[in-house]
Amino acid sequence: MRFKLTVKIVTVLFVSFLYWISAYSIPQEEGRLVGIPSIPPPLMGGGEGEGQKGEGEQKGFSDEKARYNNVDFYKEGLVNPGSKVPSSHVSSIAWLGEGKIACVWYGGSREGAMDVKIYFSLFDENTGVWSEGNVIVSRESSSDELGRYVRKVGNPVIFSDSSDRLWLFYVTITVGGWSGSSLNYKISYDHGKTWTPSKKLLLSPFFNLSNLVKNKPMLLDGGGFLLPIYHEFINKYPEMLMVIPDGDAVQYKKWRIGFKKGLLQPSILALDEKRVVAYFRNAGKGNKKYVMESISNDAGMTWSEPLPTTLPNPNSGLDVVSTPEGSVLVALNDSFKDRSRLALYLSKDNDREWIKIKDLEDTPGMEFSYPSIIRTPDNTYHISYTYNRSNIKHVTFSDIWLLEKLKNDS
Amino acid sequence: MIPDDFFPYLSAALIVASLFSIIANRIYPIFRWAPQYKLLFLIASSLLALIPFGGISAARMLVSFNYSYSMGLIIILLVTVIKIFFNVLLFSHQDSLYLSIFNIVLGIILYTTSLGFIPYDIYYYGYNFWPLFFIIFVLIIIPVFAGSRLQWVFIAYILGWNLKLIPSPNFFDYLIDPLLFFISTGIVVSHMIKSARTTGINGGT
Repeated sequence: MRFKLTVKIVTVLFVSFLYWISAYSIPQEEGRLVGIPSIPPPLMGGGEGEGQKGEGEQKGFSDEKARYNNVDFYKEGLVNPGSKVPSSHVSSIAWLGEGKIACVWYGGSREGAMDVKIYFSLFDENTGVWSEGNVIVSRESSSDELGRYVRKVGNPVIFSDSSDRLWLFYVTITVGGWSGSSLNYKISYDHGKTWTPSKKLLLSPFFNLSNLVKNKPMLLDGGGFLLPIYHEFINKYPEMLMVIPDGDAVQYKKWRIGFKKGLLQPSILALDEKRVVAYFRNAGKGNKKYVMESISNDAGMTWSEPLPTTLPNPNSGLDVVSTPEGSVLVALNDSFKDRSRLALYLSKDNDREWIKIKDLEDTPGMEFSYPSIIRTPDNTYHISYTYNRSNIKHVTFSDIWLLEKLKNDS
Repeated sequence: MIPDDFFPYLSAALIVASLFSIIANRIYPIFRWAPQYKLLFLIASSLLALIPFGGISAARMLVSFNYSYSMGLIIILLVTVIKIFFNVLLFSHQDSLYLSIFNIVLGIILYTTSLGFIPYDIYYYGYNFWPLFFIIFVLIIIPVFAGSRLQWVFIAYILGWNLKLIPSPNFFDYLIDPLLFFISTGIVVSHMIKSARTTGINGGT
């Protein structure tokens, strides 16, 4: 009797010891994880002057170069003009520093085909030329690196973090369509010349199903970032993934952005140290759908009930970036019915009134979609988007051009 | 440091070995075999999981469909294999039933919320110490004083978490996976059918 009681007490003590260890083995970086967004995220093309100037200097942008770029210009061209594959879609653009811009997209015989690969190309701001796209991920390479069967790959997102690491997030599918996606990442320490092997993130308890990505993250101080992701198996809803780099590995946690269904592909922006705004593609019901918007006052941890903006949305992806004045610039399909028009809109002081800046594209019967937009420290905006599913187009313009447009419109 | 893929592949090999064992046991009870044949069979069936057929092994296919399997599934499979090979019952029928009910309840709550049927994000709590670890603590203490062996299952979850056996930062992934959920459902349903039959037979006499 006494022996049994001793065993029980020893067991309880053992369990308590395990719990004591467990409490410490759970990532204790709540302070780091619940980080403050960089103000504004400089590499991601955000807002106010001071942070950007510092970042620009850090990345080697001289005042002369910045002045040179402070001219009124608007240029456009194809990222992959001589594409050898019939279909190109879902691009993502990132600033690497020293006048280099990177773009990734997926291309193949068609969206979701097994021959789809992820391409990487570099833009030299001095020459204005994109390098030929080279394959950085195929289903075969991904399968080998992950040790798992991969049927298809897609949705690449690329960005630089505050430690000058270049991240690539992309989805893989083992079975089914996009809703069966899971998320993977690779890191490059040499601006895309070489990449670490792919690693998969376990983000969902049900067969790790349905974790997709479309837009760039928001950087956190401490080296981490908040990556907006989304779920689309059975129900569609937006989520937030917090990633803290730990060498080539990562610590991460994921939570939902509210509980409203039918919202996808969040694009997020820091308004100040604590306030974050998210804009969503509207995949809800109804013929007239609008871009939805949600606000967080605690650096992305909790979110307000999503509300419609006045921007139309034909169930199509969009992306946002902030201007030095704190305005929000959005690239989107401003239509209720299709993706034949792609436009730039600007909202001053987040007052929910949107001013149309320019139609980037407007040709009935063609598709212009999935924009990715950044602002670089040399006062330039870069947008990449799907051009009629056959190519990726690159549009770049200066702050001055944008200000002139606003002045002329007003 | 345990490689990320060690436990998922070990789980997959164990799933295949368990399947072969169950089939072989139907043909001739394995516990009656000579020890060297038992060992040989276990190793051979586990290795079969790793040999590629048509370019892909069964283990790779299993970890492709589900990135990682839970500690709970491994425990259930180990209990099954030990019963088949040594005719030793580590858990009573009652314990298996309680564990299966726990898995079903947990699975229903977790999957309905994570698939968006219920507007609540239960999975998020798996990243934090409270309150999930507290619930498991209670589930350890109750069997300790009730004299049930189920305590060891829950202790194994905590131990596995501390050893970082599963490549997941979420404690829920240590507790349950869809395969365990379906197996647990099978155990409970089969128990209900057997109970109904017994009741029917007793009622008839």
